[in-house]
Amino acid sequence: MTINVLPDNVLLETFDFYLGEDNPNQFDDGHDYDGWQTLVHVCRRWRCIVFASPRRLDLKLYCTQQRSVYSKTLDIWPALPIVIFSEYIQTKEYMQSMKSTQSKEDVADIVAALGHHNRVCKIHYDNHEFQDSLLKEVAAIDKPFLVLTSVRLGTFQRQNVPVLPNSFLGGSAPRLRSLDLYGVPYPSMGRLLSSTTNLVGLFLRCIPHSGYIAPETIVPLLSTLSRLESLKLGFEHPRSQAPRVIRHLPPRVVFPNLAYLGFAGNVEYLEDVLSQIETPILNQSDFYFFNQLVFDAPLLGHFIHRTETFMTIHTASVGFYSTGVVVTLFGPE
Amino acid sequence: MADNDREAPSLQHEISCDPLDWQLSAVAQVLNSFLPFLPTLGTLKIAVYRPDWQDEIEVIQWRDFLRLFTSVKEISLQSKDSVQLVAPALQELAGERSTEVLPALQKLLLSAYDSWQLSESGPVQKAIEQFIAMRQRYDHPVTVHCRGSKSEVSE
Repeated sequence: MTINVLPDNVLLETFDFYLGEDNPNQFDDGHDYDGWQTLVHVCRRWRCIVFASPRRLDLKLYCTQQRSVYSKTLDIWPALPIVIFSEYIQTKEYMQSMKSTQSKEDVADIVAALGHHNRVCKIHYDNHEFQDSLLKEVAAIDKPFLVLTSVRLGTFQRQNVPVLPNSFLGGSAPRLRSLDLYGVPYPSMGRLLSSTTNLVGLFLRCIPHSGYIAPETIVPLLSTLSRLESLKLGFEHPRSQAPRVIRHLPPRVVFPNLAYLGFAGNVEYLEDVLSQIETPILNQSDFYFFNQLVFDAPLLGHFIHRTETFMTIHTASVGFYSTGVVVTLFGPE
Repeated sequence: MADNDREAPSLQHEISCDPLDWQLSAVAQVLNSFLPFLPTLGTLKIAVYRPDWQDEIEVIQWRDFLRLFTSVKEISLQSKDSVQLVAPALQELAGERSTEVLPALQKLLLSAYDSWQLSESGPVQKAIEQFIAMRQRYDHPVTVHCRGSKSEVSE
C-alpha cells in the first residue's frame, strides 16, 4: 500500500496539519510559510490538491531578501497573499566596515513586492543597521492595503529618519490587527487608526522626537480601538513637558479588552495617559521611566487602585542593577 | 496578543538611573504612589546585582524604603549584597521603632546564605540577631530562614 491510496480529502487534512496555523497578528517566526512549496513539488496530484484549497491551507507567497517576488517570478504562482519579510542584522563585518548589507536590489525587490498592495497581508521589516535606504521608500507608499493584517517596521537609523506621512498605506488598512513600529515616527497615524477597528496590537517603541504625540492627543486617537488587547508606547529620549495645568478631563476612554500596557518615557506622560483611560481587564504592564529628580506620581497610584486585577498582587520583587532598578509585582495565577 | 487567561497579573516598573542611592530614592517615590493601594502585598524580595555599592548608601535610606511595606509578612534577601546592605538597616531599628518599620513582618529569608555561612558572617549575623531580639522584645517575633534549611536559624 502506498500513500497514493489515500483519498484527496484525507491528504488535504494531512497537509493542513503539516502546514500548521499562521498567527494573523504578527509575522510568526515559528511558522513555515514555505511549507506548501515542498508539497507542490512532490507530484501533480498533490500540487492540484494544494492549489485547489489555498484558503483552507492558508497559502501565502513568502518574499525575502533571498527570494523576491519581483517581476516575472511572481507570475508562476497563483495570486496568493504575500508575506514580506526583510531583516538586516548588524554583523561583525558590518561593524568593521559600516557598509550596509542592504543592497539596491533588496530595496527594489521590497518596493516591487509592496506594489502588490491588494495582496500583501504581512510586512515585517527590521533593519538593525545604522543606515537605512529602504525606509524612505516604505514611508512613501500611499496605496490602501485592504488585506494587510500585520505591519512591523523597525529601524536603528537615528538621524534623518523619515516620518511616516498621513498618506502612509493610503490611510486605510481595514483588516490590520497589529501595527508595530520601532524607531519610526508616525505622528499623523490618526487617519490610519480610524480605519483599523480590528486592531488588537499597537506597539510604538523607541519613538524619536519627530514622532512625539502629546498625551492629550494620543488617547482620542486610540479611542476607536475597542478591540485593542496590547498597547506599548515608548519614547527614545526623555522629553521636557510643559507644566501640567488642571483642566476638565473628558470621560475616560474604556479599553474593554486591553490586557497588556507597556510604556517607556517620563512618568508625567504616563500619568496623563492613565488619567484618561479605563482598562478593566488589564493584567500585564511594564513601565520604564527615564531618570528624573522627582517622581511625584499620584495618578499612577489612582490608576492601579482602580484596576481590579492588580488588587490581588501579593509579591514585590525589587532588583538593583548597574543600569537601573526594577520592581516587579505579581499576583496569583 | 496578550493572554490574560493564563498569566498571573504582573506590574513592572523600571527606572533608569545609576547610583544606588538614587535608585533607592527613585523607587521609593514611585512605590509610595501606589503601595498604599495594595493591601494584599505580603512578600518582598530584594536583590542587589551590582558590585559597586560599597559606602554608597546610608542605612537611613534603606529604612525609609522598607517603611513603605507596611503589609509585608515575608522578606527574602536574594543576594549576599542585599543581605549586607539591608541587615545594618534592620539592626538600626532600635527600641519601639523596630516595629514601626515592617510592622507585619513575620519571616526573613536569607536566600544567599546557608546557616553555616550566616554563622561565619560576623557583622551580618550580629545585625540579624539584634533585629530578631528587638522584635521579640516588642512582641513582633520574626523567624529567620537560610537557604536549604527548613527550620529557622534563630528566633
